[in-house]
Amino acid sequence: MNRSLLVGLLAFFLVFVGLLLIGAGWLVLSIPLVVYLLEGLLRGPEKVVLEAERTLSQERTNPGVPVIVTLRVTNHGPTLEQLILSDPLPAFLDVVEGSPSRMMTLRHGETLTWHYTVQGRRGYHAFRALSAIASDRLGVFTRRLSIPTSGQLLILPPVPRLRNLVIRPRVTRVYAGAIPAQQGGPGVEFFGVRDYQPGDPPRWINWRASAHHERTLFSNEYQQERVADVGIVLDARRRVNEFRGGRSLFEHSVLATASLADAFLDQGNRVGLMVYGQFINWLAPDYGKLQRERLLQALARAQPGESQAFSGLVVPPRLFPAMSQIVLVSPLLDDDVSVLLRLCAGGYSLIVVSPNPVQYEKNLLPASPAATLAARILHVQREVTLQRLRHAGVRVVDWDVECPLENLVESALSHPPAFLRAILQGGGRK
Amino acid sequence: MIRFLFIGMLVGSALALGIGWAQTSLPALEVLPGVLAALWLVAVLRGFSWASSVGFSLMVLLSAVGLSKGMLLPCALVGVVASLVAWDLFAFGQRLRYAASDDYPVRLELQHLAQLGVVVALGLVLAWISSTVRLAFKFEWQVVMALIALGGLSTLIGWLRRNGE
Repeated sequence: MNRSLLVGLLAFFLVFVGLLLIGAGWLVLSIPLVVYLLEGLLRGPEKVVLEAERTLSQERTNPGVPVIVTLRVTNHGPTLEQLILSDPLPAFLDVVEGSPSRMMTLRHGETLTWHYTVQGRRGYHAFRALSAIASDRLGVFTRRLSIPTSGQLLILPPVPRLRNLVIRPRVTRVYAGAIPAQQGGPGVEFFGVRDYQPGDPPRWINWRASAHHERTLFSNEYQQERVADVGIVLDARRRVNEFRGGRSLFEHSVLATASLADAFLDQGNRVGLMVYGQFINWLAPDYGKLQRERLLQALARAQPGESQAFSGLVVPPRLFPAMSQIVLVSPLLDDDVSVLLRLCAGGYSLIVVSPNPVQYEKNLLPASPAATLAARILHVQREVTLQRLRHAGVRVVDWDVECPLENLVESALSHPPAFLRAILQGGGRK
Repeated sequence: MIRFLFIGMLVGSALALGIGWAQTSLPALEVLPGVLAALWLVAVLRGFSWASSVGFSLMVLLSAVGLSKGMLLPCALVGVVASLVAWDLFAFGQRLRYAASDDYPVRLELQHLAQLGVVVALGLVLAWISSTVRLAFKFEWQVVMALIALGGLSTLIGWLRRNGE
C-alpha cells in the first residue's frame, strides 16, 4: 500500500469513528495525519516531464575493463522536490566507482549529469530505461516512471589462444587451408607418386623412382590442405551446467567455445555456432573476422536456460553440412551419448570438449569420505560414458576446469608428432 | 542520525501511550505499546520494511482505543505524532539509500527533518487549538460539516488510489 493511501485511510477511520461515537478526541487525533497528508498533496509533483540521455565510454569491451556510464537528466516539467533516479544494472555488472542512483531536488529546466563506472563479467545488457520516483520532500505523494534511454554494453568472453588444432573432417571445402584433404596435389606433406604430367615443376620429379623405369618419369604428389566446415554446439542446458549455490560450469563452456571458434577461424575454416538451452540459437557458418565478431557477440549473449522441449541433447543434422566437423562443448549426460553416436553414424567427425562436472562439484563440496566415494562412483560412470564415445571414434577432451584449457586441448587435439603423422598418413601412400 | 531519531520516536511513542494506558480503565495494557514498538523495531531491523506501516497503524489504533478507555488526549496525541514521525523517518531512511555522496545525504536529512518538523508542529498546534477552542454549532451545521469532512476525505482517498504511485 502506498504511503499517502495509508495515512488517508487512518485519518478517514479516525474521523468516521469519531463522528459515529461523537468523540472529539478521535477527531483531534486525525488532525496531524490530515496535515501530513495535505502537505504531500500540496507539494507533491503534479506533472513529471524528464528526459534522459546516456553515453557509455565503450559499448563493446572485455571482462574486467572499466566502463564509464554518463547520465544526463533534464527536467522539462515543474520543480521536483525529491527525485530518486536509479539505473537498474544486471547481476554481471559491478559498480566500481560512483553510484547508479541519485536522490536530489531537480528544478524546472535544470540538468543533472553524473557518471559511474562499472566493470563486469561476460554478458550483454541493453540499458532501456532509467527508473525515477518523484515526490514531495516527505515522500507522501509519489509518482513512479521509467525514462526511456538507449545504450548497450557487450562484454565479450575471454578468448585464450589455442594453437595447432588438428581436425579431420571427412569432407573439406575447395579453398586452401590447413586441413589435410586426403587428396594429392600441391602441398607440403608427401602424399604419393604418380606419372609425370606436362607442367609438373621439375623439383616434383621423383628421380629415384624414375631411375627404375626406362623412359618414364614419376612426380611426387603432396597432400592438399584445405579448409573445412566446423559446427560448434554449445550446450546451455541449465540442468547440465548449474550446481548448488548458484555455481555454474557454463562460463567455462563459453570460454572453451570462444577459444575453439577463434582457433578454427584462424585456420581459415568456415565456423558456425549453435547454442542449445532454452531455445536453439543458430549462427550460420561463415569465414573471417566478421564471423569471429558475430560468434563472440552470440557467446556474450548466451545464457543457460531450461526447456522441456530441449531437455535432451538435440543436434539437428540439417544445420550442419554433411560429413563436416562438429565440436560439442558440454558437461555431457549419459543420455546424450546416443545422439552423438547417431551423428557419428551419419558421417560427421565429432569432437567433444567436456568440462568435467564431477570434479567441479567435488571441489565445491566439503571433503568427506561420503563425498569422495560418491565422486569416485560418478567418475567411473562418466569414464564409461566417455569410453563409449571414444570407441565410436569421437575425440573426447575431458576437461577439469581447474586446469588451463590451452594445455589440455593442445595436447589432445594438436598436431601429432612426426612419427605418428607418418603412421596416420601411411594409408594415403600409393 | 535518522536511525537514532527513528528509535527515539518509537521509544517516545511507546512511553506516551504506556503512560496514557496506565491511566485508563485497563492499566494492565500499559505494556502493550512498548511490546508493539519493540516488535516494530525488531521487524524493521530484520528487513521486513512492511512492518513499519503495520506498526504505525497499530499505534494509531492503540491511541484511539485508549481515548475511548479514558486515556488523556495529550498522551494519545503524542503517541500518534511520535509514531507518525518514526514511520516517516524509517521510509526516509529507505529512500536515502539511493543518495550518492554527491547528493550530500546530511543536507538531505536536515532538509527532511526541517520539513517534517514544520508539518508536525502545525499538526500539533491545530490539534491543540481544536481541543481547547469550543464553538457551539446547531445540530444541522454539525451534520453538514460531518458530511463535508467525510465526503472530502473519501474523495481524497479515491483520488489517491487513482493517482498514487
